[in-house]
Amino acid sequence: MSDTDDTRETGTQLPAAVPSEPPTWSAAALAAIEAVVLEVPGVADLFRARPTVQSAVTAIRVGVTPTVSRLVLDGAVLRIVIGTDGFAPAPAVARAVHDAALDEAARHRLVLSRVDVRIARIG
Amino acid sequence: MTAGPDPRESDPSVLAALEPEDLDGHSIDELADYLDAGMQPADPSIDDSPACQNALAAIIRLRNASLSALETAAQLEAPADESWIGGVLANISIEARAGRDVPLRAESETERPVMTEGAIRSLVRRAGDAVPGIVVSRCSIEGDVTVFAAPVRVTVEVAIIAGPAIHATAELVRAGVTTALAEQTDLVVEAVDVLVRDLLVEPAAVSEAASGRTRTVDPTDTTDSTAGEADA
Repeated sequence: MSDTDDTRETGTQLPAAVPSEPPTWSAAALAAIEAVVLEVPGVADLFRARPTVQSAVTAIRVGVTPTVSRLVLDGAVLRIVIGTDGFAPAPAVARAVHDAALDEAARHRLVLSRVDVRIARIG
Repeated sequence: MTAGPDPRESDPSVLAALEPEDLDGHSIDELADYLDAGMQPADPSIDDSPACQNALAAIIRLRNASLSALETAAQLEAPADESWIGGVLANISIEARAGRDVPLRAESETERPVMTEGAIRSLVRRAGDAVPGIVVSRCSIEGDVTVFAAPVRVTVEVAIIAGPAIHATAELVRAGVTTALAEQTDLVVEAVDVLVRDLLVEPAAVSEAASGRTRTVDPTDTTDSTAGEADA
């Protein structure tokens, strides 16, 4: 028995191994971000962002059906297309959406290099 | 009433070029039919399209705001009026498409907010339509909107229902558009020009004329009445 084999000597389990790979995107993470975006004050609609070839490849790799999510993940860039309610100032709404998406991604231990928010409709 | 909002929009080649994809695969006629059907059965390709939603909202406003005046005018000069409505609908089709991305102010490196040109044009149209007695026939934004803080000039062409003072009503349009752009965009608006292109005959005026009274409307008084410019 090795001197370093603590488990056998003490009979206790070691902490779970740290994942060797960073967390990856999942449909659940995208759905969670969609949900928080829709809760941002001033957001009236969440439209389907236009996918790029890169985003389609990413979606297939992480197992997200491209046509299901309204968000598009293009590498580490998240693209969001919204409509605002016409009352809240649209630039402030876009900023709040960016912040909410970034925070929710972080909660899922996911890193985004950028969040592109596109306002396609006001009011 | 004059012949139409702008001869350029009557160019068949321009309109034909817009049909296939500018409203996410739908034509303005299809959207009007969808409205007529009560938006049932639901069509996700329309309901989920911001361009279609912008166009639908404009069509609804056009119908609600001007129906009585247009109907009256149509009785007087039907061929020209059909052309006029067709011109407005064509302009809605053109303006509702997404167009260029207009940058908004970013406060961090992870932020890249933009607003579509179509959203801004629809905002301008909505602000103008909100003024009683006004139907916006065309609006345009001149300037390089793709460059943040580049100065732009907004032109709003309107039809006005005869009755209220034209200059005062046009000024309300100018003020409404200026306020909407200041509140909802980061554009640096150099000027807002309001051009009164058409005069819609007020139903009451027609009734008076029909009953033998003397009140009439001279459409030549309304051509190219410019309300002025916004403060920079």
